[in-house]
Amino acid sequence: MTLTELRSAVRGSRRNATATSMVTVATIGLAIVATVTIDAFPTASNLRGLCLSVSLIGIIAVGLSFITIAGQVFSLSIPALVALCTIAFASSNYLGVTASVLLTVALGSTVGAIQGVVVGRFEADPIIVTIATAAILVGLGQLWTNGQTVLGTGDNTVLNMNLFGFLPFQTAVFLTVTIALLWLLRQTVFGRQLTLFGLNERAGLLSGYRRTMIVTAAFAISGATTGLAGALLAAQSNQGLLTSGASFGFDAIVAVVVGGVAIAGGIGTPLGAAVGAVFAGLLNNVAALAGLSYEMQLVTEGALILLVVLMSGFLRAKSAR
Amino acid sequence: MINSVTRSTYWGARTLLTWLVAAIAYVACTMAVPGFSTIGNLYALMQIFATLALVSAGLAIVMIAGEFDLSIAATYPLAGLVTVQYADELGLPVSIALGVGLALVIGLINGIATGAVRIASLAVTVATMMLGIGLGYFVTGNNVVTMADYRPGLQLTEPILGALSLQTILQLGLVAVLILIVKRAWWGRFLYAIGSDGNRARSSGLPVSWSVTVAFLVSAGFAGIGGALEGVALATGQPGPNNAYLLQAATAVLVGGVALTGGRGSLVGAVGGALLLAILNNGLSLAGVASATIQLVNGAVLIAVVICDRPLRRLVQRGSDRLVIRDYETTSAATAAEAIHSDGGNT
Repeated sequence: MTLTELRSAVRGSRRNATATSMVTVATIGLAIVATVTIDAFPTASNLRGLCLSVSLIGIIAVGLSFITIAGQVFSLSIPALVALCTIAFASSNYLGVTASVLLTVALGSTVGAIQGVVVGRFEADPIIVTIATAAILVGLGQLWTNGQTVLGTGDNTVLNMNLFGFLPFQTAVFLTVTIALLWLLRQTVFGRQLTLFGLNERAGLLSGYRRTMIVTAAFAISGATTGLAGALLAAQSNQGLLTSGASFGFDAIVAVVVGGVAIAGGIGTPLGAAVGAVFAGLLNNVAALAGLSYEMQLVTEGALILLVVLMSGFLRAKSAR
Repeated sequence: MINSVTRSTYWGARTLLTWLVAAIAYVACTMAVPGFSTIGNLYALMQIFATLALVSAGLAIVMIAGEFDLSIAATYPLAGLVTVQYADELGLPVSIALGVGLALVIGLINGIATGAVRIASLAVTVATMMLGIGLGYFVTGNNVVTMADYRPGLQLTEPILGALSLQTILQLGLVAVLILIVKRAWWGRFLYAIGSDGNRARSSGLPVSWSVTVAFLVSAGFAGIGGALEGVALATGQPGPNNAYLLQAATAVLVGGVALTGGRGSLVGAVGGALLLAILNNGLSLAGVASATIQLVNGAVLIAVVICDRPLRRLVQRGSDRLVIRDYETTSAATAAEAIHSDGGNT
């Protein structure tokens, strides 16, 4: 361990900390400004709606951050997988809530793991593979449902209740998943290996880590959380539809990038992605309350992520110099 | 010497193979699907092929330089939407210029961020893709837009010599010009050099930033022109990402033998890949296969190509390496023998 290595390690963690804490400060600031200036913001119904919209995106983003941290950029098959999982949940709903949630999560992680094997074992490009998978998943879903809405027949009130009277169940799931995955990344050998692998793939391989295993696990985790989000989304209205969850893919990417997870891999935590999701959800909520149209929100979102990507690039170019 | 010969033969063979497979697919479709080789269907096939070839050629340029352009999923529909939206107000030439210009701006952002600032192209183009899709919704106000004057569209797609139209001639002409430029101009050589080893190209003093920026401009411009012409031809447009098109273009380029890692493959191969995909899609839909299944087939083809690509390349690499070693051994044996001879002569 030379001095430069030590210094760069310290600088890496510091940069990550600043990125996440910057977003945290921005989130809190935005919330305060919104509470003071917009009358409709601090109402119970709006806050509940905010919690619900943030939770699903957050669950997906926290899982997606594993793919990004492992150095595999993004998955572009998330919207397709969410849609397929809502259909799977609604179709298997007659088995009972627990069974159908487990089945849906299993489906999600299987699809994720298959992509992981293709990316890991055959060293294929993750973006290309996930685009292709998205096409296959949409095709399968179309053949499965003929484009029709699948209605669930089970009783899903458990998934939509409020814990302790105020905390929506989905938000509780979001918090639990975030903490569990943060522990997985920070405290387990697997998590540390994943981080090193993302930081420097060659060093990871020379240390004897198996590429297939790490990449597959990252994709499987992302698939599982995506499946979970799909199940919760389907439970909201007791139906599965091929067009549901279309915006989740981009929202999750925004959350991960804004949350300080480096696109090159190795830097960032699921907690950062979770904070990013809260920030993005809050921004959308405030924009909607302030009377900005849906189209304008999309443009702001795109401009925001472009800004973050460019800024991180400039910063890295500067620190490399 | 042998090394370079075998490798270039392989990549030449890849191009040839793609065209061969496309020809086989054509014959197979002619035999299996009734009405495939009629002049009416050939016209439809050419319409699909020309647009796909245009977009694929642009993407291939970027991929030869070792980058990737996801934003064509946004620039392609965006140019069409802008063209259709403003055609009645500003007139067709201005609105087409506006649509293609907007695509070029996105390409410029991609190029500068990737070439000059050296940010990973996937990250940049994901961001510009999202921005472009948002702009598409913004321009149209989240509505389906239509053009009142549909006569330019009819003129554009009117059959010439049976199978061609003004649109296809225009698009294939652009592709031909690009192929010529890449073959003849320094810029084409630079792209290959950058794709095979960016750092080495940079240290050799090649204009890397400039070349990459131009590559992204060409890619966005071609996607924009394709989208604008498609918008004029259909006289309608709907906002949203066109992932299916990105998928087809990426598949065409990869099938055509352009490596994702850059520096390898040719535009002619990419055009062959576009032809193969066009035949496949046209044949399947003519045979009455559901569009969902066609999309599924497209995805499966892409996965198969991606999986086969690396082992195939490694095989070729190993083969050529073996040839090099044999070459080296024979020459060194010859020189050793010569040395012994000369030694013998001295003593």
